[in-house]
Amino acid sequence: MGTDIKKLCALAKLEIPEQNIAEISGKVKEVLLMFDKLDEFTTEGFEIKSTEDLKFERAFENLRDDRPRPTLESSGKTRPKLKLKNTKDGYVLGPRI
Amino acid sequence: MRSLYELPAFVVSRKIQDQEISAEEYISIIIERIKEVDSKVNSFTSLNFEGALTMSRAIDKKIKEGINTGLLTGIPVGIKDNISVQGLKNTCASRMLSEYVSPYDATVVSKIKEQGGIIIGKLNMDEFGMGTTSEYSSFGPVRNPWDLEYVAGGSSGGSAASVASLQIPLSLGSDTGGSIRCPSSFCSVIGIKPTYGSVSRSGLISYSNSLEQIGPIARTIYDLVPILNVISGEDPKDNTTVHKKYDYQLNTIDNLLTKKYKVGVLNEFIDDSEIEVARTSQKKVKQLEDYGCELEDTRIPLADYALASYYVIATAEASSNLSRYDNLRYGYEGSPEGYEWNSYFSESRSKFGDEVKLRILLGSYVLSAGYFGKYYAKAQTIRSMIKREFDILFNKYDILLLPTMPVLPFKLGEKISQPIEQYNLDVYTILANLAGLTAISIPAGLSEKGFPIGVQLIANAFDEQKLIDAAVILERAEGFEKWIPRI
Repeated sequence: MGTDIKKLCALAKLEIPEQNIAEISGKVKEVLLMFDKLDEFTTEGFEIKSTEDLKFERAFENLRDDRPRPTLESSGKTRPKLKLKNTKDGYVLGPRI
Repeated sequence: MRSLYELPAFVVSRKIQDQEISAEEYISIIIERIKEVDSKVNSFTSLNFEGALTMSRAIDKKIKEGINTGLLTGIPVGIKDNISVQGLKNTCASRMLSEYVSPYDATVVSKIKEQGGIIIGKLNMDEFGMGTTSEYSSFGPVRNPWDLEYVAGGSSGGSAASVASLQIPLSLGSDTGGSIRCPSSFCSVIGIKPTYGSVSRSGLISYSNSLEQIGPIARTIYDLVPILNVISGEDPKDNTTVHKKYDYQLNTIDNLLTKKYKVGVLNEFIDDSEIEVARTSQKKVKQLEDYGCELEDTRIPLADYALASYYVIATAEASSNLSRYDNLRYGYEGSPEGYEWNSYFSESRSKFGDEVKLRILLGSYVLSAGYFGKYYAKAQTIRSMIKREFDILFNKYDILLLPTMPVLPFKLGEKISQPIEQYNLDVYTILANLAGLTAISIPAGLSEKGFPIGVQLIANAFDEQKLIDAAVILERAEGFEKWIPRI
């Protein structure tokens, strides 16, 4: 799992310090064992044969008509507070791709 | 004579509207109480004393002018630190968002303000709502007001502890797998997880969108209902909200005696709990029977698979939701210049706490190619079957009764490095989230050593009224609103 956890960290784009790898690996293993409970699941004995006996007391209006409304103003109090420190020429500065 | 901070919100609000006291006077007393108590409990992450005083003066002015000030007139409300309040920090108790200030109000916050409620501050929690004890917070753990060496429950620990310790009468929390009900049980307050789609989630920082819901916490059902009415309703900013009339009532006992609710008792869960929890739950069964409810044993056959299904879905959604924290739009200081995108992104995310990292890793794993069918697809199948089991149960019963938590509050640090032990504690609360149902935790009693025990009631989607009715009965039966920790 030692190598696997490093692969998983890369996949999840997470940096885990080398000294914590063993601990986090143990925890991931433990939880995955709990997830393996799902392997025991079979629909046999659980499947509901009919829904005729179900009583639906209310019908809800699940879909509503579109309600056009103006977009949020992009100035004043609704303007997101970007980290202006990391901007260049009015654009957010990002790492190179 | 009881101090104003000890009185229920609905009593104080009436006094303010009748001009027996001013909103400013009340808020000043609450501020003093918070200053006196919160250094012990650690329930707040940030305070809004100046803003609260300004709002209270505006309310007093309106009252003098004869303007209607709303259902929550002059009442201070604390907001969990993952719900946006304009101009206040919204940290989710994470280093990742330590300096983030929300530029807008969540819909629930706007509604509270419109009805005269006063936002007094933001409340401590497990980082991004991931936890059962409120120990995973960059602000340090929330302490249980009944014993400061014990956990307050989580993830809305600050929301429950602040109300239980008489700092504020009302708070908002969020509930993804029991995060309102668990701390309500551990701190002896009443907390409801509303039906999925009945309360807007606009402005809630998402952890697991398909499971979570905002809900209120109070000391008495008579305070809980007004704020539930205020925050419920359709919201164009949240397309999962349902168009429906929400008008919950506080019925009289005489009226409730005629209703004769059918209650399904989930005895397997009661028997699997610690002995004092089981004994107290049985006492609640008897009390409901005394008030004319019809009781019957029942079970949820698929419950054995619920925990694994829940954590597969929750971690999968968490890994997706938290990918937005790239340290460019939100985050801590640090220049991206000279970095390649992936290494910058990975390094930035090292600021997440250990539990959050664990859940991101698990979510990435269960969603990865080759494992999707084994975990995620199966979990969703089980989820839909659990929902169908509940449909059948609610064809027969109005309410289901079970403990909120299988155990009493435990010591701080006792389970902090044991994820499975903590996850297992959620086994009774996750069911309502998986099925999108409403559920409430009601104070049920105190253990021999004086620790709170909560009982949980679950009702069908949009049947909050039945839970409120049962809460009125149980509050009448034992007067739990008078159980106050000595702090």
